[in-house]
Amino acid sequence: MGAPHSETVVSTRVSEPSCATTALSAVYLDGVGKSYGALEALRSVSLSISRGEFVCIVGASGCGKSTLLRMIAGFEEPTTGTLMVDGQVVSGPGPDRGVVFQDYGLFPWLTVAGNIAYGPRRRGIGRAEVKAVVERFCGVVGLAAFADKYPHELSGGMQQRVAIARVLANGSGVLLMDEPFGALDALTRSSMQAELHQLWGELNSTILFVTHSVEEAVYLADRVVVMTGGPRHDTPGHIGATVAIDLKHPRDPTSAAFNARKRELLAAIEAEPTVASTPG
Amino acid sequence: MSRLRQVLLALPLPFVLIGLWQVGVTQQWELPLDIRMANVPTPLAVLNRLRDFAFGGVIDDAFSGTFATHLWASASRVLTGFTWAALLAVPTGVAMGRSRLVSSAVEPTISLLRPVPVTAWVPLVLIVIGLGSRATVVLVFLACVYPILLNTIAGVKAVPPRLMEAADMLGTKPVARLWRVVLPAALPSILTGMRVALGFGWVIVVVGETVGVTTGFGSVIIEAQQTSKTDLIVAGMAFIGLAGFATDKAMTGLIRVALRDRPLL
Ligand SMILES: Nc1ncnc2c1ncn2[C@@H]1O[C@H](COP(=O)(O)OP(=O)(O)OP(=O)(O)O)[C@@H](O)[C@H]1O
Ligand SMILES: [Mg+2]
Repeated sequence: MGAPHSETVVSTRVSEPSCATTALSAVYLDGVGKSYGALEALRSVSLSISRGEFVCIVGASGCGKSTLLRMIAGFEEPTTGTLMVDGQVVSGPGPDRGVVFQDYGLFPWLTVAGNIAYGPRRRGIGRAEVKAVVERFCGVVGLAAFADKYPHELSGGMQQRVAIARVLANGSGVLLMDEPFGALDALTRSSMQAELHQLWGELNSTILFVTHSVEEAVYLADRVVVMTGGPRHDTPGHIGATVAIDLKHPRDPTSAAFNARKRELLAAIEAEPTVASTPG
Repeated sequence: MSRLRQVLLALPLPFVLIGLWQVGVTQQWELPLDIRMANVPTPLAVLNRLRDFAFGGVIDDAFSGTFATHLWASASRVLTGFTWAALLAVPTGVAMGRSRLVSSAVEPTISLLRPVPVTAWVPLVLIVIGLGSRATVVLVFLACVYPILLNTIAGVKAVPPRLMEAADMLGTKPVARLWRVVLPAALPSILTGMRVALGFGWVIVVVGETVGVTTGFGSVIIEAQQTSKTDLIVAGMAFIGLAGFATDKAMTGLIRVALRDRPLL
């Protein structure tokens, strides 16, 4: 589309993690690639996320956002490169990284309280303490009145709150969210965004959040990672640009500054996909 | 209101059938396929027999008031065979559903054995095990094992991978996945298999009891046949139907309690 570059001064840069950031980073990727047989889904992804940072990932369908998140979660292994969380090489899923799935992934045979208590129970925490944790996080996501309901008795938005409460209650320092609000209506979605942002401020967790919505990214993120490529572009998925969003919270989506960031981000997304650099 | 309608709609047919039955017997109707109604007991005779079989004091023969004995004999055979089948089929089904290796090793053999109907096993079982209660239990076992096995395999295979991932990221140890995720997720399917199996069990126990045992509903109706007590045959049939119906109701009640109001996966 060749959108003219706007007059905003926010920098667009490709992050260059150095060894010095490793120890400080909550999530650290260096030259990470992923192939499924002959298909190279991701190539040479380098990214460093600080503790307490809120990072959004945007990009066209098929550019490998989910694949990236699933590797950080430990569900899949990178084919090349280094992947560390809190200074430890990732070797499988673990309770230090809470995942919120787009389709919730709640246990249908457990109540809301049972789902939230699941993680703490696995850690062998005492009954009374588990009860306190469940009460606290039911309250945090506004579901105190629904603690004894089963997931199928709740709306999509409520189920997604349970899924978020479940990872928060497990004390996960890193939250990995793959289009968690994709299935929600606009109204529920914007209230969930505000709540999530508030929770993030209170709990001081690191969040990596995949979304298709540019507005959602500008509203939530400290930094937006734009991914490009994918099989449709004949080049493996990779990071095209990183855009810092230096707006104060609470952000007003109708403000001029907000829309300037949106335009900048859109321009970065619509830019011709660069050719992924060969791993080196 | 619609409940009342349902009852009103369902009620006439049994009365019409019983009326036709009564008239057919007294008029000695000859129906197609050589059905001679003269040989059928009247509804009243069957009703008397049902009462006598259950409580005694009407007919006073060897079968008077023996209902409980025969019910216990048949039910315990069904439950014993069913229990052994469940104990074998559930673990095997879980292993087959979880492991490609186990499935490849066992599945072909099962596919070969399964088409043999349980009734075709009867002669061999009677010779190998001998006449008696044991043979019947084994036949019930054979009838119950396949539905439980197949439903367990299907249920375990259908466990959503997403739930495994959710359990993993919440800190479930790999060995604990089995009882934390696989079994709870597959439970509705396993219980459905058990329900089907119990139904089959009641069918086969009657077949098994027709030879070599003196207790159980199957032996009652066979002995009644040999002594031409047609009223007892029909009474026995009615009680077999009732017992199967009651067992199925108990099983569905149990399933409802076990699953509470959770949805079936
Ligand atoms: N298990 C898999 N086996 C083979 N190919 C896969 C697998 N998972 C993902 N891919 C491929 O990797 C590429 C990236 O997929 P991914 O799901 O990460 O994209 P995405 O950016 O999340 O897309 P969307 O926005 O549609 O969710 C796609 O081409 C996809 O076909
Ligand atoms: Mg995706």
